Amino acid sequence: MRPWENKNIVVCIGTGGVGKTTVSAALGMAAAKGGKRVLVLTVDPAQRLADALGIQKNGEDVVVAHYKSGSLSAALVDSKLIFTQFIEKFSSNPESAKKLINNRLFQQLMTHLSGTQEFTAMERLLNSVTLNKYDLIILDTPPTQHAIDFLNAPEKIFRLLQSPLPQWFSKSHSLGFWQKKIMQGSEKLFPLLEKVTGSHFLTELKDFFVSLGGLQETVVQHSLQVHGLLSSPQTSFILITALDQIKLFDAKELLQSLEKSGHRIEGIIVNRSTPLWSKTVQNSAQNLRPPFLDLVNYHRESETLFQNQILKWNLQVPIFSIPEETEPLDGLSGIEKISSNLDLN
Amino acid sequence: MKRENQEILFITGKGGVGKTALAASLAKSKAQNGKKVLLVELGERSFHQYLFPQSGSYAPKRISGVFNFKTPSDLTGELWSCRWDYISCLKEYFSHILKMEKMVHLFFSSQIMETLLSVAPALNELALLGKITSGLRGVGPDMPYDCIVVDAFATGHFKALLLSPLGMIQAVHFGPMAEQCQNMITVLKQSLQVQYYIVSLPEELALNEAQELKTFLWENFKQKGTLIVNKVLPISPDSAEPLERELRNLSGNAFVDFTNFVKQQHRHWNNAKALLKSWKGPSICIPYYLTHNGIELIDQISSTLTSNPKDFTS
Repeated sequence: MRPWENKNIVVCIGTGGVGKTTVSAALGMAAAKGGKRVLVLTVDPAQRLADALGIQKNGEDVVVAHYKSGSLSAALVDSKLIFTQFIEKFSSNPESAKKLINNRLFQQLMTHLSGTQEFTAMERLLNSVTLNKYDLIILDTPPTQHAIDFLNAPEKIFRLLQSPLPQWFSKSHSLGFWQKKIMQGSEKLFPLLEKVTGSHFLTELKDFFVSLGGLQETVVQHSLQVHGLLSSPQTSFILITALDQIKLFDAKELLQSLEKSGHRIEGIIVNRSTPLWSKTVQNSAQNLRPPFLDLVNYHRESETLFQNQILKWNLQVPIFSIPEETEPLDGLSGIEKISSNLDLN
Repeated sequence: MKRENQEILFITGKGGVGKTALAASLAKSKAQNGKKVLLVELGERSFHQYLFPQSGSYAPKRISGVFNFKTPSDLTGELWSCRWDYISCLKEYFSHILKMEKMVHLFFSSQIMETLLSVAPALNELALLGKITSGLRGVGPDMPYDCIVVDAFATGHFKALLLSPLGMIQAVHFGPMAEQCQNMITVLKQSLQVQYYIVSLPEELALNEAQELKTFLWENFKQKGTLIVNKVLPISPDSAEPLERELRNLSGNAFVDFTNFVKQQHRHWNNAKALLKSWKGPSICIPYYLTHNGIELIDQISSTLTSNPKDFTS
């Protein structure tokens, strides 16, 4: 059985540079052809792929293609937009929303790559699930070295709001016994922080926390909802990797940390694996000379090393291979070709 | 102690183009030229440990021994390796400023640091960049190396790394942080000391990214990046002909796939040549070395770098 069948959410994880976004789109197409209404959420697509899918800059869902009973839609997770919308929607009043959006530290946070994208991707996922328009949502995770941060984002945000730092600045909240205890210890550290960062930085930080105050409850609530979604049996994780040795070492670590957070993968997709021509000539060609001879040997060796690695992982999950493309990814037909490799029938 | 003549080499490029192999090869070539070299990887996880089993720690380890130097005189310098993560860099920096180990320990064991880094994530990047440039700026513990080779992040994250001091200055105009950031920017613009190597494959997406990064470096730091086109596989239609003929009789699909492959390699090579021609800065091509042995690969790449007439490694 294909690991995306009978699922509502598929999370594609994997290390950078393996073509995760393209494969996510191909996966979406395979499911859509099977009759599902599918949405693919991509975080940082290459321009060519964005064009092929017709993804809009405004972050809205776009219908890419209709099939017999299914359909494929795609959307871009625009961190800045989603963050701003989130604040406007959930702030207690328009003024504090404006103040937060104009805060310079907040602007830094939004234009920055790591950390923010995890949160906004989750928020976008939650929004899309609530819409109830799709049978399956495929989430292409942010291009981070630590793809696993993504899963811990809800917990991280939760811990952030439990930390004494916000309380330093916004004394309006009544403190519990343990929070007071923590505060007593940590107030000594305040002057140290000032010495290293300067008072100007701390003023910005204070403004940030005061304006953030009204959003705490919503953030915590959403984090818990997302955590629930990801832990559901209706959600499946798929590892996307390449034959490259170092990528495989990395993938193994990723699997281990995934397991630690209580999730497990239900499928592996190997992108850019041995091309068809190379597989064909491996056994039968007489006219195999350099440089093709070396190339074919190299491919064969990659395959063997991969098989040895996978055996060690001891996973009972289906493995799909997508041969390295020899044609440029040209519009939808390119994605279509890739998706045909994901069809077991 | 200020190391005014220290060199810093940043190696970046699209994900999966071979940054690590290039960084290690550049580091090795520099060491062969008599320099004391520190090869640095960034982040919490070590990828270099798969190449050099003794590496991966914050404290530098000597790794010259893993290479097959033909004669001992081939290596006149030293090659060291380490991994810098932002927490270790920040800790070191705080200890340096505050000079109170105990307080620093308390600080980092509290939730405050975690909170601070979650709301101001640019601090992570600043900590790394601060450490990288600390020798040239004369801040923090001494960095007794002639050359620092940084196996840096992929393009997008690398840009964020370089922009972090600019962003922080915009948010915070005064105080010690703003001052440090200003110094970092000055260092990043020093074209004699600081060099940027953009690694690409001879493939359209990667080449486009290299071109964009070149513009970015020039606009923000007035620096000319060096282009490295990696994994070049020259295939002439003539050399493909016999196999093509055989495949035609063997399998239709494989035949089409093979002819497409030959055309693709041809197209890639033409794209790469076009970019190399218009680059107007140092550039080099590295052949596709078909080996799974990392050390062997680095040996081959570094000898290509060293034997290049423009000489990238002196």
